[in-house]
Amino acid sequence: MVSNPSDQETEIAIDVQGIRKTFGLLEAVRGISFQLKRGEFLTLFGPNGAGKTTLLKILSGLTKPSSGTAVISGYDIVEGNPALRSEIGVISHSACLYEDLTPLENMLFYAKMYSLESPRERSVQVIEEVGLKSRMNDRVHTFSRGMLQRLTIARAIIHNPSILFLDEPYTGLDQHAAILLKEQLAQLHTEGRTVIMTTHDLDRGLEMCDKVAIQVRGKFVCFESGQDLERTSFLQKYFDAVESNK
Amino acid sequence: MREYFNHVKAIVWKDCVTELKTWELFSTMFVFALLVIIIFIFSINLSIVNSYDVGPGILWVAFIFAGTIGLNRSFMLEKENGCLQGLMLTPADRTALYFGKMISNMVFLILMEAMILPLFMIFFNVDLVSHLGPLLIVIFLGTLGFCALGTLLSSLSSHLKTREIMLPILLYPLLVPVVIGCVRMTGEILAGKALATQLKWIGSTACFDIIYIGVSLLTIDHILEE
Amino acid sequence: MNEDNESGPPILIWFTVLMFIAAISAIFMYVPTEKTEGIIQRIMYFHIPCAWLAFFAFFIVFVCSILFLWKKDREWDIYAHASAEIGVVFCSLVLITGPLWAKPVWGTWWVWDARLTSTLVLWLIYIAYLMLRMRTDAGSMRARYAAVVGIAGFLDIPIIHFSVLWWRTFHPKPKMITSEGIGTGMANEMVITLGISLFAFTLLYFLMMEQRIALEKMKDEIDRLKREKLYSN
Repeated sequence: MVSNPSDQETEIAIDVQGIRKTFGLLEAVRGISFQLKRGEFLTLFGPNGAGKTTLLKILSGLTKPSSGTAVISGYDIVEGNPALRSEIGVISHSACLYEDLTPLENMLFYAKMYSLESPRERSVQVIEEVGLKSRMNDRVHTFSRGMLQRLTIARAIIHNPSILFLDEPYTGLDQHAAILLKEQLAQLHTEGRTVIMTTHDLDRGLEMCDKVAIQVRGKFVCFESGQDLERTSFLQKYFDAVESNK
Repeated sequence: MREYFNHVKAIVWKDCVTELKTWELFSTMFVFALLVIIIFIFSINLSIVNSYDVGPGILWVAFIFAGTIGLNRSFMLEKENGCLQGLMLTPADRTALYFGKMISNMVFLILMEAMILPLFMIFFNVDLVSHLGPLLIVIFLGTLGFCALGTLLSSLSSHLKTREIMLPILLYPLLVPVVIGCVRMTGEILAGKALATQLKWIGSTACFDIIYIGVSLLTIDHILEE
Repeated sequence: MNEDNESGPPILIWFTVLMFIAAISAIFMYVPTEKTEGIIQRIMYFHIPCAWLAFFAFFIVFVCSILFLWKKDREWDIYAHASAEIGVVFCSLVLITGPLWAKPVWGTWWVWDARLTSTLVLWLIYIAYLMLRMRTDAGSMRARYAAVVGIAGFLDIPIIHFSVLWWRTFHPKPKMITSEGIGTGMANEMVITLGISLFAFTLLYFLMMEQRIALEKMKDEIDRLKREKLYSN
């Protein structure tokens, strides 16, 4: 995916400065700084336990950093401004959906929590967008992994956020579901959203990115443009980085 | 402010819709409370002891034990699938999450208590009907205190590995004043005394309710944050 | 607190030792034996200071918990933790010396008297507090949770006190001895001895706090060094 640079897109959407997070003995994030312009797609690679999830949790305001600051869409994340939370959509390991409720009820609930204007219309609209209209009134616990993931996307974009954080969105999806997800993400990105996606799957991650970063043991070892990336040399770099930090 | 009430309402609505589909919380609490009462009946000899003396205590023990199960389950539902995380991502104020959960906990608890009361009346051969008004006030005050503190502590213990054990261990000692007050008030009401003679107990229970709603509002932010 | 004072530890230790020697000699040699209760009454000079320390320690937990939630500084968490542990130790001592005193005087080990009962509930609250600390992984989560319980626990004390007091109103009041009101109906020697003992125990509290805080800080330092080594490459 290549986004068309325009005046608006040169604006800084995410500005992270020296974020650190310690859990007792573990230092999950050890001083990460980077900037992302509006509309950019950052793919963050890293092996398991690199602290990618923690980084995204900090950026989405779920966890406070031990030190450092980050400004997202002009809001300081440490302050935890509710207005910032309306700007961010998150897809994480967990679906954040109530299994005993139907997709429509789930979406209605989240629409109300985001104080959307017309909850019902918007709920039906996002469910349609992710192609689950026919299952709108079935309970969520009857859904397959792929359908659940699509509904998770619906939940994450119901309030039309300008920034998306995707934490390993491809995990557990079959081929077909993965392709659907990819199309969906491409769509979300072309609509001008700023995206950070973490993954340990190099092929999936390189399919679609403006920027790439490699996070190993809580640090960025690489942060560069994804457009003119030499695939094999990047793979080499990734494996070297993982290997040297074992 | 309107938004705030809408958030609280949304949470209560969500919990009620879930409950209407599964009846999980209510049925678990109800059956458990019933079992507690029956076990107590086996452990005492009703022909020797006066049921007006032991009844109120047994009733409240049943409410509190069953309520603890309800609290545990209620927050488990939020932890499953990371729903709590989803809630934390919304712009809703954290105290709105607290109030939403507290009110829905209270709704289910009061529903369970309303079902237990007639059975209690039959089993213990106690006349509740003539004292129903004051009794309901006492039950409301006690349940409010239980839910105010219980929701705070269950949101805390839901993050722990040993949540089922830690909730009662944290909750019960703090709940002592409510238990004493409510058991005493219930006993006096059943003995035919007016609620107006129990002002100090009403006062202490109401104080408890207010203090713990206050503490929860001030601290819930620190608990829900991961 | 005292740990800021570089030359503090030895002075504090020796001062505490001296005060305890004074307290013990006062208790066993200076103060006259109470007429009705006999020799056992001397346990009061341990019992009351222990109770005072337990309450004082829990009050410190409360204050430090508030300060922690406000400032989010690990320092306050350490103080609250140390104080809670010491408080539980002294609260346990109250619960042990209480029945020891009660048996010869009241004829039973335990009386559901207001003061004993609220002490027992208090003990349970802070045992739960320590269990919570034990079962939560180190980090800011543990500190925050503990702080919330530390605050909730202390605010409960007055309500517990009054509930337990009224709970027993309809029963004959157990014969409360001197602890009913310190100084009322007590000989001057007794007041002085109790004063010395209270002072000695308070010093002991600060001494223990200092040691416990130093220990916790050492643990932190070890963690920091371990972490540095772990991430050195």
